[in-house]
Amino acid sequence: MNAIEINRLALWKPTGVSGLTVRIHPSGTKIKEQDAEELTPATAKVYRYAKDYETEAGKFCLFVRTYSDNQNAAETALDTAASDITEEQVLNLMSRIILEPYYFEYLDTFLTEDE
Amino acid sequence: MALPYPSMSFVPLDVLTADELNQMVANDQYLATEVGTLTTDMTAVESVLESVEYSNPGEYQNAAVTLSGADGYQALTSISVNMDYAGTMVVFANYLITNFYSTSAFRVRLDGTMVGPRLNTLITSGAGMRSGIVSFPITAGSHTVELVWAPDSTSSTVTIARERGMRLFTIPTLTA
Repeated sequence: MNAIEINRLALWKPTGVSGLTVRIHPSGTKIKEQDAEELTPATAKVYRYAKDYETEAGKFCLFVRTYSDNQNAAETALDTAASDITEEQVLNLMSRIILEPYYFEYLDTFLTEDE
Repeated sequence: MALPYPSMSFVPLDVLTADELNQMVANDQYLATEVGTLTTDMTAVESVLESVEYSNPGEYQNAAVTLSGADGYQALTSISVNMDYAGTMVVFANYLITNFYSTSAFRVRLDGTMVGPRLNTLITSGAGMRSGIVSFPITAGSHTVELVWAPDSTSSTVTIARERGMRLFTIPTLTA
């Protein structure tokens, strides 16, 4: 089971909801800081941003969890990453989701400090 | 076919409300019912495939098209169909490819129109066992979903195979 990784973008199947959605995890939620090995309690509220996309690669959802409450920056980062998602990534994910409906994949893409 | 709650605003590792948990369960129960129906359909399809195989000796092997002579063939070994919350149907197939045509020619047709790429994504070259997947949105109502064998190459040998236009299975209707 994947852990909550701060600032790391992830790929999942489309949620069916248009536009950016936001949720908040309370401070103390167990998370994995970038480059950390162990889970630690979040030192502040953690914002989760998610958005559905339909590109030439197919339909999918990208999401990220971060300490930042800057929705615009998060959405921009998601939009940018969406353009790099390949059809192969989407299809490989879907092949896993058949067996594990809540399976998702972290990308090697991170929100930066500036975002 | 329409899920009770087609749009779910959560992603993995979110903390869900009680209402959202109930909605998720309702969707899962609906899908379990529908997938059961499709499984029944698949059983019927298998008998169709057998009849095709035996009525066309030399042209089909294990429900696949034999192109000609030593061209080899592609044989469907298993298939699964699923729906996700966003109203997307997913068709996943395992198949065997022999030496001639290393790219899968299995495709899915929805109401007579090809959808998505050929099912050859997971492994893309060489002979042997392969897996492929295609997903596409499907709306409520009655639909015919077919897995067909339809090579896109323009070589003369493959054109012959394309003209055979094999229909591997049909889901008669998906009714919301």
